[in-house]
Amino acid sequence: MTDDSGVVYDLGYKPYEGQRLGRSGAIKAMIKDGLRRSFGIRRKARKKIYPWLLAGIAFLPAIAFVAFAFLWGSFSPDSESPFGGHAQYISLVGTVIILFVASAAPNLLIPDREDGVLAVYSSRPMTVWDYILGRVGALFAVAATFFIVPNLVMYVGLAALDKAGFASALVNNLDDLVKVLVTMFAYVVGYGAPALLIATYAKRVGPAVGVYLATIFISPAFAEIFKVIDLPGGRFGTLVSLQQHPEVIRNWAFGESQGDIPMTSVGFEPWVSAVFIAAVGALTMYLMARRYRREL
Amino acid sequence: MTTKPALAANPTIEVNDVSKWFGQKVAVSAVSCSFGPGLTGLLGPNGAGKTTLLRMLTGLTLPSQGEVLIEGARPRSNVDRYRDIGFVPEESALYDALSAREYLTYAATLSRVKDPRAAADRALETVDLTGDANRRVGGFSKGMRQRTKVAAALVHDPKILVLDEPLNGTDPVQRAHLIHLLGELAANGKTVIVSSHVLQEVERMTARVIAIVDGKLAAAGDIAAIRRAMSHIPYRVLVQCDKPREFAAALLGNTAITSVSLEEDRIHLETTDLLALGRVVARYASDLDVRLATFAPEDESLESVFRYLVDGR
Amino acid sequence: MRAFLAIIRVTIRQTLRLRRAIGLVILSGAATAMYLLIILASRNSTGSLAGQRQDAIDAAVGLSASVFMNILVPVVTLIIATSVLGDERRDNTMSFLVLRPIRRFNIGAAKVVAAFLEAFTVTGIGAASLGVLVAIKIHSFAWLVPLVVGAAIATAAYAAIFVPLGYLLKRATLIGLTYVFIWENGIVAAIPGLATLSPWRIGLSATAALAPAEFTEHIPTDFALGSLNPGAGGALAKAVIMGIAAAALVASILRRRDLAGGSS
Repeated sequence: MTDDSGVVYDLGYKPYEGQRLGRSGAIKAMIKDGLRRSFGIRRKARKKIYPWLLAGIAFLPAIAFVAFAFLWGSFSPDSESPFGGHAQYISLVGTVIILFVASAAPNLLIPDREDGVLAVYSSRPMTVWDYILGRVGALFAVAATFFIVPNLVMYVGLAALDKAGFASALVNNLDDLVKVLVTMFAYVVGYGAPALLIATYAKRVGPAVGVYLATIFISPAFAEIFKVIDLPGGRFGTLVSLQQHPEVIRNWAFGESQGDIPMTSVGFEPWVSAVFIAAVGALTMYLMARRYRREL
Repeated sequence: MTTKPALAANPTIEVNDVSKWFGQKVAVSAVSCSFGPGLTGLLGPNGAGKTTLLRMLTGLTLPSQGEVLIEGARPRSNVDRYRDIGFVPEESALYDALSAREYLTYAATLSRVKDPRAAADRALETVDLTGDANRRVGGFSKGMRQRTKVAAALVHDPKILVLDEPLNGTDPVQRAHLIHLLGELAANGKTVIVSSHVLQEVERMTARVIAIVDGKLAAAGDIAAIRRAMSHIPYRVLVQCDKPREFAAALLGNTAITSVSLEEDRIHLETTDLLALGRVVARYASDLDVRLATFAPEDESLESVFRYLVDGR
Repeated sequence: MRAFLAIIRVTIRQTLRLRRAIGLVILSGAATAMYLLIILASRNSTGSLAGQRQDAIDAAVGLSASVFMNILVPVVTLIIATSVLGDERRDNTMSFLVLRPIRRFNIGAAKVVAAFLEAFTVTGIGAASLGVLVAIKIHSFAWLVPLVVGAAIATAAYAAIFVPLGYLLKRATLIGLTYVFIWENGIVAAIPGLATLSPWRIGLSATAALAPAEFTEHIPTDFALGSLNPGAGGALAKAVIMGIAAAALVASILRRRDLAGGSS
């Protein structure tokens, strides 16, 4: 005769009863994952070579410069140092950022599609925008680090050498830091957004890197042509120079001459470059959302 | 005639003391065996080294030590040797842009078949893909992709067929069809080596297996013989009869039996001497006028043998 | 021969998809687009006809040397050539290819030829379109064939370098771009004696040899040619030797190394 009662035995399974972090926790986790991927942390040594080499190129000159200044006495950075001031250092860092985002943006987005991992993300309580913010946030954080750290080293290091005193120098030169931050946004968005846009639609990492670098390095040539030719509305063609819009913002922020930059040569004010960068950034976010809404 | 179970009679493929390591990890360690005409199952848990061994058999991977010989020569010594080898890898090895017919025609062309198109059509028919021949492989289901890979391995009518998990992703009907096909090929004198986790199917296909555990050769030969060779592990036998309680009580304490357990009408016996147990059960059944319904070994299946090999219980 | 041609055909089919082809053709046509802008702008020019002609030649040479040959040709070829074997490795189709009774050298050669044909379809369109525009502007088709030949030779040389690279390295595109932008356009530009190690300069030397003398007169010699003398035969020979060496390298890899694939 069968017994129709039942019992469930506790085999040791326990549901998770810890803290649930919600959407912000998911975004932070994605940013952390993105940082690891970009720098090759917890990955094979091979994956660390390229990003850390670029980090070295971005950070070491500033560290060496400040160390040099400490060892050989103080001097005015603007007139005597081999790097000039923050503005000149930024032009070195700008190239590093191009080379870094060229590789980092595709490696943040494309493997998730290639490996079929998007289904895992979509089964979690996170939205399309959480995913995008997580990935964009990681790229922004790393690129910003490349920018901020060497400039901060220079800012603090030179303040320590300043005859007016460390605290006074920090306060007096605070506007330099503000200019660095403003320029940072221009560079990171100006170079990062096109890389993300290309990576959103490319199928493989390699071609995405190639197309991005080719586009960035060829666009100034197009702008030069539009600068010299006399076509109706031709001056608007100078705006295609993706590489040079952040440079316009840098020169404006630090009061440097705009020189031969095509868009300023034809009469566009720096705010036009700021609007252009913001527009490219907004377009990138919109198109990413559209693409990933299909996938996630 | 060979006296070692790991060695086939009239071997087509010989594996002589082969080891393979990747950095610090030893994937295959001092394996010696051979494969001949007929079907041999290659078994082992995940990470045992089966795929590495199969890749060494085909020449895709070079042994770190030892040698693999196909009809007396190393696989990479002469490219013409590849006419005689068909390989079905575990991973997807398909050109998504091609249709099934194009893919197989390509395979036949590369294998220097005289009429590649006709060979492709024959291979499609063999794996029952004629209806989908003009569809792009990229749009195939997992089972269809698997059949396409098998067809590509058969299109040039090779003497040796090496298949790594060929039943993955196939539904029961496709599986039965493939098993039947492999059996036919083996019966026609081809050397067929199948690695699989689906033990019941391997049991249906062949009685000869080679088992690899942790990169080492753990067992080889006929499944039942392997079980008999595990004399340190008692046999489990199921007995069902009309008087289970009385019969179980009577068997208890007999020296031929190491353990008796009763589960409703099922008596589970353990013994180290199967023959002696058979005599004892027959005698007691006669003495007690018990009608036996079942007397069957419970652990002579490949699954049981596999479990004993892997974790010793 | 049948197998050789089949490998070429399937490789091109598998790697050159429509969207990618269109994107690469657009990229390759960037120099042509620039030249078109220059032509459109110069329609209203008030200078002398001879002066306008010189300007047109100057622009054509400048674009060929500093945009088309040194950026577009290598980048397009890099993207295509690294995928020819790289995709086989990534998609796990190497076992399908190598377990066939085909000499390893023939496999290597077929892959190099496939990469060249595929890449040259794109760069050839770029070179031909630029050549046609130049011809329209200066009323002479004498430039068309030299530009196309130079692009072909440079493409072949790049294909020879990037096909094995695509198999050997996972980050082949990044390494290739470093080679193009830092080695060729940085170091070799600074040291003209190294020009013979720069595929686009080899291609340009063929263009310079075949084009009318005014091409060479306008070329920025140190940057564009370095120590190379204009010579089509020499350039072609170098490209062919590089192609054969690449096929031999691929064959050696296939013969000696473990071929990429899964494991359990």
